[in-house]
Amino acid sequence: MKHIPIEETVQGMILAGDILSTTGQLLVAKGTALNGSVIKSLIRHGINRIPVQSEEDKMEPFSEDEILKAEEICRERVLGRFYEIPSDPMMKVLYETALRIEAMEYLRCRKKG
Amino acid sequence: MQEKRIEKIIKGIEDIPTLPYVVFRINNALGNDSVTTNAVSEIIEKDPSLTSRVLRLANSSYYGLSCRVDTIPRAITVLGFNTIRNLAFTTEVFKIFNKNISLPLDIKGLWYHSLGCAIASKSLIHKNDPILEEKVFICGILHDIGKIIIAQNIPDLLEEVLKEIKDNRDLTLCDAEKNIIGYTHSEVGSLVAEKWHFPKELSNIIRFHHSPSLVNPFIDISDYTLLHNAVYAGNQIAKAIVLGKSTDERVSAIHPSTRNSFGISEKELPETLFRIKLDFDSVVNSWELE
Repeated sequence: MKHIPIEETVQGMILAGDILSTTGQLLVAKGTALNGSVIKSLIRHGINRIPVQSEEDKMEPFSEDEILKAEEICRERVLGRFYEIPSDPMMKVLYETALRIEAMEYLRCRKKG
Repeated sequence: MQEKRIEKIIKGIEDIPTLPYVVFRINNALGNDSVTTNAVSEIIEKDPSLTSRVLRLANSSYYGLSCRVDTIPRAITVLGFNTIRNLAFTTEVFKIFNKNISLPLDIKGLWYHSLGCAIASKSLIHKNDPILEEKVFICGILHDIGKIIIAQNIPDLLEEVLKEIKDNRDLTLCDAEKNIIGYTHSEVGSLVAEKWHFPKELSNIIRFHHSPSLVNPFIDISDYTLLHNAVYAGNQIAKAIVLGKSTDERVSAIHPSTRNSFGISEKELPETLFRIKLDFDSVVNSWELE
C-alpha cells in the first residue's frame, strides 16, 4: 500500500483502505477501483491523500515474515543469476526486487502444492 | 567448414515465411492516419483464430469489464489499436517458429522470455509515445529470433555453445557463438528483421542488443538510443525476474549511463519491476500462446 496525493491518482487504481469523511461517514470503501466520478467526489470532500494498492500488493497476500524466510531459501539461486555480484545501487535494487519476486513465486507454488 | 555453417544459416533465413498477411494488413491499416475501427475489424474478422484471441483478451479479467465483449469493433475500443497490433504480431510470429521438431533449446521458454523482454522494454520507455512503444515491443519480441534460426539449422553447434557457457561461467553467450559458430544470434536475428523489411533502425537494435549505447547525460538522447537501451535493459530485467527462460539466464550489469536514458530512480525501480511482472503474467494468461 502507498499513500498518494489525490491529484496523482489515475483511473483504475484500487483503494487500499476505507475513505471516511471528517464526520466519520464512509465515503468510498476499500477495494473500490477509482474512476473519474469517485476521484471528483473525494476532491469535493476535501480528501488530499489516499491509500492505493501498490503493484506489490496485487501479487499475493503473504506476510513479511513468510517472504523474508522464502527470500533466504531463494537467495543463492537468484544471486547465481547475475554475472557479477550486484554492487552499484541500481543493480542492488534490481537484485533485491528479483529476490522478492522469486520468494513470492516460491510461496505461491508451495501454496498450490 | 565455416562456409558451410553460414550457408546453412542463410538457407534457414531464406526458408522463413514472409510475415503473415494478416499482420501485414493490420500494420498497413494502422499506419494510415485515417484508420477506422471498422476497417481493422474487417481484417481481423477474416481470421477466425485471431478473432477468438482478440475476444478472449478483451473479456479477460485484466480489463475487468462488467459486461461481455462479443464483437470485434467493441473489442478494439476496449483494447486499443496498439494492443491489437501487438497481439497479432506476437501470436503470428510465434506460430511460424513453434514447429513440432525437437530442438536443443526450450523454445516456449525462449518465446516467453522474448515476450517478457518486449513488455519490460516497453515499460522503460516513459515518453508515452505510441510509435516508440510499438517499435520497442517488436524489437523485444524479435531480439532472440536468431537463436531459433541457429537451433533449427545447426543444432549440433548450438549444443556445443550451450555446453561451453555452462562449463565456463565467465564466457558470454555471444563470445561462445563467435568462437564456435562464427556468428552471434544477434547478427542472425538482424538478418531476419531485414528479410521482413523492418526499418534499418530496428534490425540494428536487434543486432546490438547485447551492447548498449553509452549515454552522455548532458545531451538529449536520440529515440534510437532510447529504444536500443530499453531493449538491452528489458532483456536483463526479463532474465532477473525470470519472465520465461532464456538460453543464457545470466544477468549482465546495466550501466548507469544506460539507465539514465529512462529517468527511473532507484526508488521507483521496484514498483516498475512489480508492474512488469504483473503485466507479463496477465498477458501470458490472457493471450494464450499455446
